Amino acid sequence: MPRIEEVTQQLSNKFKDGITGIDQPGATQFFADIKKEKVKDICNEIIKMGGRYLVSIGYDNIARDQTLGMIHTFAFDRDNIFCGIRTSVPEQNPVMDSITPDIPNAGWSEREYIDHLGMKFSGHPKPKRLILSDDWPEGLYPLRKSVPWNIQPPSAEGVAYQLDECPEGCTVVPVGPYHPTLHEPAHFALYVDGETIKGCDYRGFMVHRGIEKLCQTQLTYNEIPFVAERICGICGSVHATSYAQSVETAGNIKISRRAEYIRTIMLEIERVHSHLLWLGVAGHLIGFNTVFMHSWRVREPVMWLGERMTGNRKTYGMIVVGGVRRDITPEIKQDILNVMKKIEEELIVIKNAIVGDTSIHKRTKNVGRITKEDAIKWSLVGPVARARGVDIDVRRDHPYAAYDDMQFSVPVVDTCDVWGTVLVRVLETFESIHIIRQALDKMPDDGPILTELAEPIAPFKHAIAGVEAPRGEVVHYIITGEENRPERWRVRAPTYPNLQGVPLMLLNNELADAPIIIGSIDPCFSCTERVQVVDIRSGGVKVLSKAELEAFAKKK
Amino acid sequence: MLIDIILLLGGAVLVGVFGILIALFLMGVDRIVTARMQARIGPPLSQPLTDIRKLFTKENVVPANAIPLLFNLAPVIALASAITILLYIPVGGFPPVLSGGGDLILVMYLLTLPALALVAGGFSSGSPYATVGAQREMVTMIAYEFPLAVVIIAIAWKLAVSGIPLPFMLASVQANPVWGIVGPLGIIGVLILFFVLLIVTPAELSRIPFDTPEAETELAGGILVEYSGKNLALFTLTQGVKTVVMASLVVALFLPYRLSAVLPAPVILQPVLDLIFYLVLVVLVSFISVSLIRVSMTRFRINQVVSVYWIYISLIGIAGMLLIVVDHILGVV
Repeated sequence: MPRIEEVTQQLSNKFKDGITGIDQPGATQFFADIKKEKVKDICNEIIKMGGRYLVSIGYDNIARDQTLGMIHTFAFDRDNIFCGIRTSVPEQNPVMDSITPDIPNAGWSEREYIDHLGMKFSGHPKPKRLILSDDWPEGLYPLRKSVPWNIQPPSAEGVAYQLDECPEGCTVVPVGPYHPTLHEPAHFALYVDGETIKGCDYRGFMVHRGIEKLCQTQLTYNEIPFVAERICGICGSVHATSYAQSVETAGNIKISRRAEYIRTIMLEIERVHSHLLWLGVAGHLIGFNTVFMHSWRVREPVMWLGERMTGNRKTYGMIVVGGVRRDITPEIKQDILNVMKKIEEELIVIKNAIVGDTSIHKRTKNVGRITKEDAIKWSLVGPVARARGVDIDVRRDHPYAAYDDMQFSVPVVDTCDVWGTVLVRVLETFESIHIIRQALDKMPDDGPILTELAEPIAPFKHAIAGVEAPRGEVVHYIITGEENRPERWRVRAPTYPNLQGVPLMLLNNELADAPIIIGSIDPCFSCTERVQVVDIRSGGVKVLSKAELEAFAKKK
Repeated sequence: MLIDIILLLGGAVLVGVFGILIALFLMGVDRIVTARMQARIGPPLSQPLTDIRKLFTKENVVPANAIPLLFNLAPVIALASAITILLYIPVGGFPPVLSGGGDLILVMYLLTLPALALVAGGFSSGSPYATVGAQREMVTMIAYEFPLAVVIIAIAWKLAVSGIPLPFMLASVQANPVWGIVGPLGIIGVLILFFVLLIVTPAELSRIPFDTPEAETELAGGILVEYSGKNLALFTLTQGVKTVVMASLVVALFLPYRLSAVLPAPVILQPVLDLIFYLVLVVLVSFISVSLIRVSMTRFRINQVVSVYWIYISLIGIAGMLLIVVDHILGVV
């Protein structure tokens, strides 16, 4: 019996009436409808069975049955299974059990739907406002269908986020909202005793652009890939691919093999550029500007290559539902091979310089140390998890595009610190070059690159798609809709789970290490904060931060 | 009497202007050299001058919760004390302006003044970043003072036991290159001390890997975070003049040679020759201890700064000193 059926069987045997139905659209995903009273037990059981928590999706179902829906998603990495645990709560009394006490990474997802849908989670350890700005009116839940996408509530003065209690004898050092370490606005309040970090509170989500709401109400299936690509400035293709895959899975669309190969090549080119970019930034964060300058110099031909292939140095606009937009001609193939050869040569030099550099060791070894158990408990993903000995990689565990044809290894180290993330990323870049060469070699010579859709996509189908971004795993969840656009589209960028693990990594480290620890997850705040409609110009966020900063300064 | 005072004042002004010019030159050279090593083109040699001129035209912001008097006074004191040190050190191949008034011990004390002014400025600016930076600056100072003292005392001791009068006077050090009065073992010792001083220099100047007090990516400029306009220009100049001071100190202690002594030249041209030779030496020293170290290392954490200086560099320095002592005893026997 295939493993997926074993899992569903085991669940329905154990919970019998708790599970009202199981929907298994393909060989790799299933969705279980459960009673809301059982949500905690079932989620814990899935974790016990080897599942890894991904993300939760809340949605407004009031128009159909006066409920708010909630879906917790999990992955079984050894068995190539994604699963969604679906439940719902009545609109009049939207209370359900929080799974955060057992699965800490669900903390943000649940807080998101407290803000967005007005749900309530009993037993949530920190039900504070997460996403909405501090002056957003109470009781206005922007992800509900009754709230228009372009609503602009009036801004208010004098409201501020209340930071967590500062431990006895500690000073607050604000990192952010604007700080040289952070390339996007975010606010870490570090509670520092001397130079040692004793705690941390995070207030982010200052750059929400309301992309999900916008796409669910205004755009169509074919337009969304280009918006999805703009979720992230570094790994745009990842989001476009993940979105396209979720629609293709839900709508049962089979794309051509050549298109899948081209997607693979684009994704790996993106990884090469992203890792080199990160390496430079990491060097800069620990004061090693020479690494910064040289790795960006080495990266430049990749940007040039992107322009040659797609017309853009970044934000390629290559990937659409049903395939890709541009083909790879023999001339471009040669260009790719040339650039990869050059980069590989220079990367070997950089790798040798970094691996043997004791001053880099001094700043990264034993810094941001967390155990493998904690990394698993907090559902960390990508290089951050692989540096802690957690052997996961979507490309291998849940193959998509043409990765099932590729031979590659997944570098995993068990140093459990920032040094490990450096090492993993450098090694991965070599693997990427290796994959690109294979893909160019094995790619079928002809075939359409875009598959035409024969008929409309059926509504209310669910699908999960995962893609391994340079920073970790991207998850897109889609519920197809009736108006040629998704009913619900949920994006989870890799920074979303990893950032939740940062306070743990910071604990008991030196203040001087905070930048490289935060930097080691390769944070991408804008990707994480895609959700809400917030008018940045309203100034609510700005007023808060200034007042807070002043308060800190005075306190000192 | 009056003429003496006027001459002295004139000399002081001359050294001040000259020191600032060399400072700007060294900063420019450093930026170009660093850029080339990082595969960049870098700014023109005149960039530091342009930067300083720009800063002088900018608004001088004093934070609302700063202590204005201390905040504004600190940069003036820092630059003034940095230039004062120059008056006691041979610059450009000329003997020090105040050659009779002070010795190496005084220079060591004076060297702490700009740093102390910086600390006072940091504490008085009322920002948590500056406060953390100021604390780090103090710790850094405590860390590098000891190896610096070891170097100076070892050399002065050797001069003293060799029968040279006033061994702490820079004029004596200048007149008796230490390399000439030690044996083969001592040469190794002096080389080690030379190395120690070259490593102390970046800490004295708060440059990478010892720029922990400023640490842009951690403290957003730390100790200087609240400074702008004229005040920041003064601190930047202080930084430059301190580079000249440290480089001149290294040259005076370890490379006190004059080209005019070996190269026959007309008397008129001799100072020019000496000046050029001095500039070459200073650029060389600042290249090694500022630019080269800066491009090849990461920033240390403050606890690493302390352990590097108190344990490793101090031990190395003491080893150098012991070698000189042993060499002397062997030579006497």
